[in-house]
Amino acid sequence: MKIEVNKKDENNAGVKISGRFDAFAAPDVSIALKKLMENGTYNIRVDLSETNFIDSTALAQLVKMMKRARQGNGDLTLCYPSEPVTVILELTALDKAFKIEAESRSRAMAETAAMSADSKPNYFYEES
Amino acid sequence: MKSRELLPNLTLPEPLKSVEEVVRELLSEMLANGFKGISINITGETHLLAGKELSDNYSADISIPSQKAELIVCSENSSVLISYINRWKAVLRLAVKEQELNSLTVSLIDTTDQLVSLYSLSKGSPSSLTPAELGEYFVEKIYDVIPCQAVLLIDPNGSHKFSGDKHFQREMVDRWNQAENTNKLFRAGETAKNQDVLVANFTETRSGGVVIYAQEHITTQSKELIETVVSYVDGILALSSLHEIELQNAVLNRDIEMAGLLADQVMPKWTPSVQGIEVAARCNYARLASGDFYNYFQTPYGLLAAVGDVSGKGLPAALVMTMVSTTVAIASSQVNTPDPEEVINIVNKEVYEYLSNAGVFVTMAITCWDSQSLMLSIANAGHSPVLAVSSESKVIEAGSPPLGVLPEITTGSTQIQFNENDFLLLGSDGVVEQENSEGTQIGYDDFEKFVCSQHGKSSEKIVDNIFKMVEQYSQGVPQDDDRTVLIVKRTL
Repeated sequence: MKIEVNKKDENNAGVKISGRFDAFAAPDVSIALKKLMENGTYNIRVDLSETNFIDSTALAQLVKMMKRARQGNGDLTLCYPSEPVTVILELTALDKAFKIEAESRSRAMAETAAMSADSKPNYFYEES
Repeated sequence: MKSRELLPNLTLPEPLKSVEEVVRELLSEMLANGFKGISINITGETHLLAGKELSDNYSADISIPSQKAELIVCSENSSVLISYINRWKAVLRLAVKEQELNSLTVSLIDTTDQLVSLYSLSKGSPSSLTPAELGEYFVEKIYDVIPCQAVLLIDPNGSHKFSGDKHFQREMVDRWNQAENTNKLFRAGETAKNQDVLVANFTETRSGGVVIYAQEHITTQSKELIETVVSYVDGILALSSLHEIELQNAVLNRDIEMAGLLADQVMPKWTPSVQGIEVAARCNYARLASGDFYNYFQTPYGLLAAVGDVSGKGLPAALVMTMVSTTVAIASSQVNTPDPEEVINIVNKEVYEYLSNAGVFVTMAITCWDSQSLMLSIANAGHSPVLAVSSESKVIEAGSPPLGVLPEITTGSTQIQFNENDFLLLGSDGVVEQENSEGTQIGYDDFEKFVCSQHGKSSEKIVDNIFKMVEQYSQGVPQDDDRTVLIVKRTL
């Protein structure tokens, strides 16, 4: 599992979660998101295009963070969820609770590439 | 006359002390034979042994390979002296041998002492002692075994135990604190008096170690002894802390097991008796306690059954599960019509705050059987799999996110006309997402096909077959998630 955090400005940030997002990875994602919100960044786009697995603990973590972002007058938007993530979001009807941006894969890739070119991640976490 | 009485004030140089009796006898004999003074030059010094120092002297070399010596006598006849040369050489040889034997004996006694101490060290590590007490115990033992001024033991918890000369304690603590070397045993420094200060790190326990303030420079032999002793103490401390961790784990596991048993009591063990349907259910936990649950109640209109799955696993999920299951029981008694959506809404309102604070959600499907209209109604809040099986199968999709995600939910409800042998399956994702040895999940499509093939079998048999199929599919891959299946089947 890998987390990349890109803080665009005071209010907006992007977080990309790649690989397996499960009970073991959830605490690290939680720390990254909490850190942003503690600094007043409540509009967070979570890129799930390269998340190949998600379990209920990870989903619960996202729900918790979504509620917190909304309390701060922001939102946690799930962007370009991969197929396995989309299936789970639909099965649980959580796609009705989250704001989801399901762009085409090519556009998502292009945007991610552009984002990477614009700025390097503010910090980078890779699970050993 | 005894030789001792002849020479009451005899003082012998070091090498001859060990053969005093023989020397006395020889000197007595020589005095009797007319020698007036007898001296010996040994190790560079001349010692008068008997008679007087006179100027009219003869000397004879009595050196042996390992000891130089000269005999100086005052005698009128030098030829007599020659007859004593070999006897003195023999005395010297005996003296040297005695000396070697003495030092050997001393070292043997030392070694035996160490062996005895090592033996008592290895025998006396009482299992009744706590790791902290073991530290106290071992610091004394190390001090006994290793020739040193003081020993400081830092136990795995970081607390200091000391034995020996207190003057060195502060310096030894400083040496420990300054020591960055992680080697097993190294010389942290030496004192003005050429005394070694050694630091040994525990490697088994991974923290703590021993500081030894030696009496002198440490020899290779002593170094090996120190390494052996430190490694032994390290091993015992590691074992002891392991024992304590195991004990704590055992207590914790027993508590979890007990909590799991209590949580299990939430799930009904009785079989409902409702006209027109039969019900069977089973829940297998992945761990000691389950986050899945099922529940059913006989109601004025027929039956209400629910299956839920708390996000996460183990005891925390089980605690949430008992609370939610109890809430379902209360809500189902408040609703007198076969309206699963209303029940699920009541439950969500009751538990939303609690689940939000806990940072979890609960997927849940509720079904109501109306024995008057022979209709089955289903409400689904984020739960899967939910399958209605007749001649073909129908997936009952979630109408709303799980409980605890939004303060208000609208699940909607699906009505199904139930014919004989048709059944409804409320499962949990643990039965669908079980992986095999290749890491492939059963998947919703294959699971649905299998469930369809069970049409016509009894509800008990269907539950049984599903669990067998999942187990077979796993190919021995351990169960990672709780598995729950509840079947409501139409009979007549």
